[in-house]
Amino acid sequence: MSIDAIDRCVAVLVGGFCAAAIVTGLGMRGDAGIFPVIAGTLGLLSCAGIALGSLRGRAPDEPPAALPWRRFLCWCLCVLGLLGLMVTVGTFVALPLFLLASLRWLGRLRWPAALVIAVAFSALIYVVFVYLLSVPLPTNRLMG
Amino acid sequence: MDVLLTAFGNVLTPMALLTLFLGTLAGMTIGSLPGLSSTMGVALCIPITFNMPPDLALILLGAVYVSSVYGGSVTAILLRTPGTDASIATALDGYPLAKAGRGGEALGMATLASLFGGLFSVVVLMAIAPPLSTVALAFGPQEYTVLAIFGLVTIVGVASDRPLKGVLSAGVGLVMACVGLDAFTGVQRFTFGQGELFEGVPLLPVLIGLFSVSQAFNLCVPEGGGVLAEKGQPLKGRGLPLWRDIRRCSRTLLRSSVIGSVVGILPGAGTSIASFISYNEARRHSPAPDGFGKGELEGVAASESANNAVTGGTLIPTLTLGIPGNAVTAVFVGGLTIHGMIPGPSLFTDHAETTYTLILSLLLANVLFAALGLWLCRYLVVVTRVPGAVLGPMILVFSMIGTYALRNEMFDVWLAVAFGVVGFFMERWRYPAAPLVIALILGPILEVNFRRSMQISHWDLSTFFTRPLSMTLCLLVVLALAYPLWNQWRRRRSAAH
Amino acid sequence: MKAQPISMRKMMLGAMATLLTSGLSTATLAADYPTKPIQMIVSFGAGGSTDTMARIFAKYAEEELGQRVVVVNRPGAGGELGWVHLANAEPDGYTIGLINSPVVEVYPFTREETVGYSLDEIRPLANVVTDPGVLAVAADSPYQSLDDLVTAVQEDPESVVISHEGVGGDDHLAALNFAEEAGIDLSFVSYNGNAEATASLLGGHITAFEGNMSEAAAQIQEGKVRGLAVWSDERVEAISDVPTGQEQGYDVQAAASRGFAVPADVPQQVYDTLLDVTREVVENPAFRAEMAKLNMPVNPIYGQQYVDFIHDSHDRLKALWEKDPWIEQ
Repeated sequence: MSIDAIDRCVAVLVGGFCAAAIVTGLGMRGDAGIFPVIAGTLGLLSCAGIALGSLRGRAPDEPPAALPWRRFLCWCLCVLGLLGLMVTVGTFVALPLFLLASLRWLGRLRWPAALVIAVAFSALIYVVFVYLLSVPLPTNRLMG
Repeated sequence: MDVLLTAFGNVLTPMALLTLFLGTLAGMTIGSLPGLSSTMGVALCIPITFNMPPDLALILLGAVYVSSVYGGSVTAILLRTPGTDASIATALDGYPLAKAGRGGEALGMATLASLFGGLFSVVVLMAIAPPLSTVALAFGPQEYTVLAIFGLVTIVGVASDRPLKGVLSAGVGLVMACVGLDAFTGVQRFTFGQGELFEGVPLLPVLIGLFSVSQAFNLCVPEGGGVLAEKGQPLKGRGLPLWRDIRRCSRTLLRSSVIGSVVGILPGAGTSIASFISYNEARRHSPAPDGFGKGELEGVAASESANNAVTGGTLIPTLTLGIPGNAVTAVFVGGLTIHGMIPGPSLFTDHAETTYTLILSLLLANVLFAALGLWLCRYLVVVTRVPGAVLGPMILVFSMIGTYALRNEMFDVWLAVAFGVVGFFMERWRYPAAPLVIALILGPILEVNFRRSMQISHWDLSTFFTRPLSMTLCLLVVLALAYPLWNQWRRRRSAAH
Repeated sequence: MKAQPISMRKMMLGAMATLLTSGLSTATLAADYPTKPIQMIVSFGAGGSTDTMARIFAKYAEEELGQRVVVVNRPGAGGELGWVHLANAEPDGYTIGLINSPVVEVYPFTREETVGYSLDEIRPLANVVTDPGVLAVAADSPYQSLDDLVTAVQEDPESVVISHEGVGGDDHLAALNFAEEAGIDLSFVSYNGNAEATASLLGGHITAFEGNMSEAAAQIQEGKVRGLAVWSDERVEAISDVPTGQEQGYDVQAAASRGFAVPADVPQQVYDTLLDVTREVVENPAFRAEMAKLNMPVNPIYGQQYVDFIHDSHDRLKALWEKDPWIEQ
């Protein structure tokens, strides 16, 4: 997609969002709605401006470099896995696994190197956040 | 004078120097990690200070405060992961410099600028704090309203060469700023019944998402990505900026320090206003404004000297009036009272010795972090050589854990990840993220003060134009809006000739 | 070459296993409570007055309990978020929390549709601090007493603007109570915290300021701010020049109280242990001295009496709310 087409999509999407904010704002009681209406109108106007600008056919911007979708999805999966494991199995199982997976598959590190970095970094996080700052990071809910 | 000498004696004891050193080190580390803010750093230190004599306690708190603000610049420059809103403007030029392999120079300039700004504001604090504190009182809700508008206008102009996209980003930020329980009517706005949103969209998860998490995406997703623009590009080895660069920036340094100190005095105005206004002023006065945003040392200098000048500024109303200027100094006041020192004029009379010890230790902490920073910067730059796919997961982990630590809420972590994806695509499609974050900060200041002004004036809009100070600020807003347009017109005319 | 990574993996697994088990509770008996660190939920941000009190209390409680007391800040929704966490916490005594009266008992009816906890899920333990409300003006203000202020409002309702810290909070309720007693309508301005409101008051942007004694005491002692009234039944030591509302003929009593509570189903034995610890800390002269420095008046109410205090206040405020809701519906 060209950047102009993307701009149009964004303008429509965000414009709809701003319009919804304006409508909700108008329905609020007291003076609570004033600011949402002002902010929404500002957003809506800029959306209109961007949409018009994208139709005007001036010299097109250089398109961004192609997105490597496979790596993008792989990375998203790793991140979701990290968060999912953090709340189910506990932070200090999730962290090394996440680091190991992403360093191995995205960073293409060899297993030993990935393992060392993953464990060392998790230990660092443990020392800083749990030991020094006593942050109660999510731990295992299944076992306790 | 005697008091100053005694204070000197207090600061120069081995215990005090050790505390100062450890505080500075801790502050620099806390400031540079995404998610760990200066507020948190100072709050974490308070229980430690319970059992310390007041002198040492204040030295520790002061050292952590000033050095954590500086620490933010390191990661903002090298990795584009600002830990707080104070360093967003630093990343605008610092990161392009790091990409070009000039990270060492940028760090050196940031360090010197922080030192200058910090020292300037501490000297101001020491010399003319009581008279300056009246500035804090002269600003009523009307002035804050116009100041917030001024800040917004500035930021939209600074952040992008496509102003409309900046306005859109700011508009979305302002709408998001409405989320939460309305303080005036108790209405729930856009909360969808989510308790986590009652207090509004939390700022730091959004900031960490848009900058740090999206940067983790940037580094990990492209094959063989990394900070440096080209693989194997040599680092330009200078750890220090050239003397002529410093000379070139001297006016910017001074101007930004003044702006930072003044904005710091205003309670609740926020560090980011100071750094963005300074950045904008530096660009406006520069002979080569087009270089800004693409790796201009002067931009780094402007932002860093301003945000460090804020530290001394915020302490002015805190110490003289007992009115803390921001969250950090609010925690500071708590620390002072625990040690039996009630902030107010008596700090400069009854407790003068301890107060001047604090001020002197701030001076020393500034010098110390600068020395440490200048020494460390040649080693820190090496980070930019680490492959992106190794850096990315680490940045992500720090962002996640840091976000969680803010208020122990998993919701915030999901929010940060969501904004990470949004930020990644915003950057690809050239929508600047900074206006969104700044609008999220300034939105509540703008709204709350606008409605306060209306309550005070009983819905009379002319209240903004009948007060001399707010009228002046209104003129500044008009100028800020008109200047770029006038500039464009002038350029078009000269191009036509 | 292959052997190394495998042994490292084993080592990692071993390390992880110890790491995990060390954080886990084996079935704890109420009898040897406490055997592990205790979380103390603070529903407001680090550095605020509730947080400061909690951290000082935690320091003394650690000595009594022989275990670490970890302060966990869960700010949000004016305190509601933290109380939701407290209400839903495991009732094993390893999670306790601070509750702030009157807001804690007000949310269940002012936010009836959305509120995430009920008072039945929380069992109050002991009150520690009661911070009376204060109405104050700047030192150069023409108003010397509550009567002056009331007269001014009667002459020109627009001439007086009073700040409070959030709709439905204890300051707002106190000011409303005063307005009702005096038979006047007040114009309010909402501030997010004491600092900005004080700056506005000193700068002459607002007429008066309604807040808590611990926040205003320093400014009153400095003589920059004049207290018109303190909403307690007798004068308060830290600001003994300030008359009470009753002395001036306005029967208003309002305060922000901060105390402790546990999830409702905590075993009685654990509840008693915690109550004893709280009593020991609160009666400790060193703790009292630190509270006095912070201008936080200690007002201990223990056990069942505190439960009754919270529930009575709930019933009283609910009746008021049903008569005349202070948040527009």
